[in-house]
Amino acid sequence: MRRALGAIIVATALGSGCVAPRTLTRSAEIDAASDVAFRAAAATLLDDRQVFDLSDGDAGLVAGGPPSSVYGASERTTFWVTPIETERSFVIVQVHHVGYESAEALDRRLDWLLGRLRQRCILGGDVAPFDQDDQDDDAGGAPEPGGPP
Amino acid sequence: MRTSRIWAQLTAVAVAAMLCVGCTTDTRYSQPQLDALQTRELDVPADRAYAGVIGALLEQRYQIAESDMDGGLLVATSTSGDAWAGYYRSMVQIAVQSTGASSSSVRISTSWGGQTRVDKEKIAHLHERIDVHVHTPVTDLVWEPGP
Repeated sequence: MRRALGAIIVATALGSGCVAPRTLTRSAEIDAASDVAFRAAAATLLDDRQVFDLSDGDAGLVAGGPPSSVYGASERTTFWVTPIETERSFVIVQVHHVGYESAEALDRRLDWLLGRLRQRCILGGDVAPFDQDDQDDDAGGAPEPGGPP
Repeated sequence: MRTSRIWAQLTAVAVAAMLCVGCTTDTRYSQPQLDALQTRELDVPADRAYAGVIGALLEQRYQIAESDMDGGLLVATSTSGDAWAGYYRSMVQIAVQSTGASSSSVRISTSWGGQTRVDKEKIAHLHERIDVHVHTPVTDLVWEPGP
């Protein structure tokens, strides 16, 4: 009985360590004007089935999160788009995650978000339809522009 | 009998410790002292200062909750802790104002645990980072994934 109780306490302590908040940031230069990149960032959040909770077009800020929390996990994605030249922008994406995703999975997620944003900048509405499995199965980075879903 | 006395002593110590914690008060600042702590003048226009504030907040892993560039107001939160120890949420409110064609002021207010509390170290550190961000091209800064 004591051993079982001890095991439960240790497992709970270890498990709770996995739900510490983590905030990851990634940046990229995009060959698009800042207004185009900003709209692409907003479209990326919509493609990812997120709900906006912040939008400030003047500042180039847009953020959102999933409509509901799953098993106490929560996540928020923020894009900041800033112009560096007339047809060139600098994009920073931040993912704040409270849950059980591994660091590798969050890295892949950042890659996917920036890859999708690039696609949206290049292809606009002609981007391939998004499938949740597409993101989950994508083991290494951004989807190919115009590639299969 | 002896055990109950030990328990009574332990309880008294615990109650005294809790009372002491409850009695802790924040330093009271006069308005000029608060202004000196919270506000910094920058030698850049307000739009550049605003961009510097966003950059510094993202770099310091804040989540930007509200932003109104026209009004020069930003609200950002930071969460620490874990499920076992509990989550602690702190908040910063930042006001950016134009003070001239090429000058602006940035005021930072901090709060923690649902109360406005002056966190001198946090305010000073954020001002330092904002200063770096307004004077460095965004492409020259390091934006690496966090741990």
